[in-house]
Amino acid sequence: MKILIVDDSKAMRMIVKRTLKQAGYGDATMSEATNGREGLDAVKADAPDIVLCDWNMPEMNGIEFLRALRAEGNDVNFGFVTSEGTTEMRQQAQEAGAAFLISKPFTANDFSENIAAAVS
Amino acid sequence: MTVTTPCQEWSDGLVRATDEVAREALSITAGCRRVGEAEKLSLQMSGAYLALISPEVQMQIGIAAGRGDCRRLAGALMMMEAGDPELTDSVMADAFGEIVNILAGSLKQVMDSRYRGLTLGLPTMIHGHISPNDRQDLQVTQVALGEIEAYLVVLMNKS
Repeated sequence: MKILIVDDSKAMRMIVKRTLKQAGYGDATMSEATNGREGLDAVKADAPDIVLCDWNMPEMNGIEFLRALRAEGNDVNFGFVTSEGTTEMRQQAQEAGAAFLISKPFTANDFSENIAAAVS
Repeated sequence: MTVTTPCQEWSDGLVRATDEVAREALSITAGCRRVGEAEKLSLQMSGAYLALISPEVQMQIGIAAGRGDCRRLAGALMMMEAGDPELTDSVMADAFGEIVNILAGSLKQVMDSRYRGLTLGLPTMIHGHISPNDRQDLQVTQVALGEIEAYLVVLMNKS
């Protein structure tokens, strides 16, 4: 499986990768991008099976990134991993085509359940 | 009668949010215990700060600690294990920024019943103390997260 992690925080990308390994995705190929703009390029270049994306990022944030993907007709599996998960954000995410929104703090179980459901 | 200022109210909320984050994100089972109020941070402190803004409130919240405790908190977030390479300064700053980011998200939930529409800024790492101007209130609360000593900061514009 190919997983693209999009987060402006290097620390958070490291945490997401570590949590993915704990969730049973240690064999996955993981690539990284630091904002939505880079994420768009990475999706075109790598064709990941799923994108795990932060919401609040400079240059192009997560929801703008997702909307840009869908506007281009790209239906890659997409989930948010964010610091906050308000009802409004969950609604926006769902309407834009996200499979899930996991808010921090999260567990390996949160990852395995949501990713498995999204890619099945 | 004791009057609670808005700054104190947010500070109380930040302690509650920190307790939740300590237990769930940092695996500190003792959570966060309030030790007392401090007049200001010492110059040796480093802290991560983030803006919370709505039509009603404009503030910065932060968490600060000495260098060693900053590393311990960052390491807790990063799930560092014995034998892992030491965090570089930039990753440490990044991780500390994530802690305040998670704190802000949690604080937003804690205060959501009274303050809706809060927007989070991006975290910044700052060394030294914070100086409020005449239009700002500053609340610094010393807390213990297990054996780690830290300071929670709320700097808000007076209404």
